[in-house]
Amino acid sequence: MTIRFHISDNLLLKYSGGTLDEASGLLVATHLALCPHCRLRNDSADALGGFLLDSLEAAPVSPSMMDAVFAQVRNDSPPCEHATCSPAATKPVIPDPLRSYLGGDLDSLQWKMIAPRVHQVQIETADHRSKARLLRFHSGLMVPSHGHNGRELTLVLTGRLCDRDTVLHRGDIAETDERTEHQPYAGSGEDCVCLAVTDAPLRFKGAFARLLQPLFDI
Amino acid sequence: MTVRRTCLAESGSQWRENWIEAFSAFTDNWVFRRIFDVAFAARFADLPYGTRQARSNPGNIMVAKVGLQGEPRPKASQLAACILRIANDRDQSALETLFRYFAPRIKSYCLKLGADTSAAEEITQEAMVSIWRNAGQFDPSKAAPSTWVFTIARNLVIDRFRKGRRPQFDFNDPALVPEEQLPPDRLIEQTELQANVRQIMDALSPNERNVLMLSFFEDLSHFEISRRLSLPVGTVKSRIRLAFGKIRSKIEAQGGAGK
Repeated sequence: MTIRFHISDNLLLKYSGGTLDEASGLLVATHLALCPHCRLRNDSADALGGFLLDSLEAAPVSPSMMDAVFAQVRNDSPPCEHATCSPAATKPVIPDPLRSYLGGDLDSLQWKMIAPRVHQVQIETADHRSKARLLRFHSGLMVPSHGHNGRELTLVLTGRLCDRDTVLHRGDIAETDERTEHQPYAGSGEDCVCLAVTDAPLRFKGAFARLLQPLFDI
Repeated sequence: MTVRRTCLAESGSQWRENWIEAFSAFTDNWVFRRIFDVAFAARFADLPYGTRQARSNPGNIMVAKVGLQGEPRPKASQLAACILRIANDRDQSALETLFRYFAPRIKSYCLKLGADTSAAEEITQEAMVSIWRNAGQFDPSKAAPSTWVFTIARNLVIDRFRKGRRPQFDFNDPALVPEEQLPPDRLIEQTELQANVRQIMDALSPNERNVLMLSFFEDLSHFEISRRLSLPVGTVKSRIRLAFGKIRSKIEAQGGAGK
């Protein structure tokens, strides 16, 4: 299935420039693993960084720095070849870097139920500007209607996530902000697993969802 | 111009205040200064780098020590050859050439991102050692030398100054979706790409360049950029798309992945 919904230019430029928070960077990098097209766009953004480095006015460095660099490299042992990883017996569902953050592939995760037919795994990041979580919606589940207090990024990993007329498949990204209110639902047939990154709590409309919200830190 | 007309219609004094506030905020930002650096660099692009350095740091002996004065700017292909000589022959004279060109620029980059002088020096030193150690991973068909060095410097700055890692995909991951094999004549020459990026950046309007820089160096949403520049969100989005699109089109047209 060809990916149809890609990372926005703004997010990609921030990822390349190094200002994007860790959780959003995790989502961007995981999308890049699934999307050769965006890897090429990422090359463009890095090339822009190279151009900026080239055109910076040189700042004089300390006279002793070159000697210090040479002292370090002279004592270096020859570089060792990278260890080649043995190919996995089966192809993982979750690509790196997300798989490393989770500590394993889809079948080894400790899911926690946060609502009927909704499970999550919270993902630890050192940078707390945004929160990342893996969510599993049972097929056909309707997510409670909600708005946002900030940016919400969603990357679909299995199944389908539908939002009005849009259907997201594996690798597709949805980017919503304060102005979006929606009620996505999981497509039928297969559970939908997605990575969700938010930089502010959601605004649920229903009383029941609002009641559960603090409990699960969504 | 839409904004200007709208503001004028609302109130003359409010319009002036808005612009004064936006202009002050913008000139306070290093991105603004950076744009002037770029414009300045473009005007003196034909002069040797040492000459440009001498203008901004007259009589600076540290510049003389690292040999910038009077040296012509090396070509991207020469820099790439130096990295390959380190990879293949552990050639220290190649490292010296790279040091003279890149170390002052890496330091400048660190300073722009808010590092103090001593941290910028440490990161620069670490980056130069990292270039030596990782030269074997440099692939001239995948990245121009400046792009490769930029990614090293950026990752070191993030490690040092930001909480958390910078997550990256792994080309060896079995779950990674590989590129389609392209015929050799459609593979992009990366040094050519860097030259293209330079031409495109020089040809961008200041407005297009502003939004691209803000998007690249600051963690701002479209909405925040629009407030910073007093522009409608739609204009910010379209300017980023147009400006970055001009750069992307070069790669995607040659890389053949624009699908």
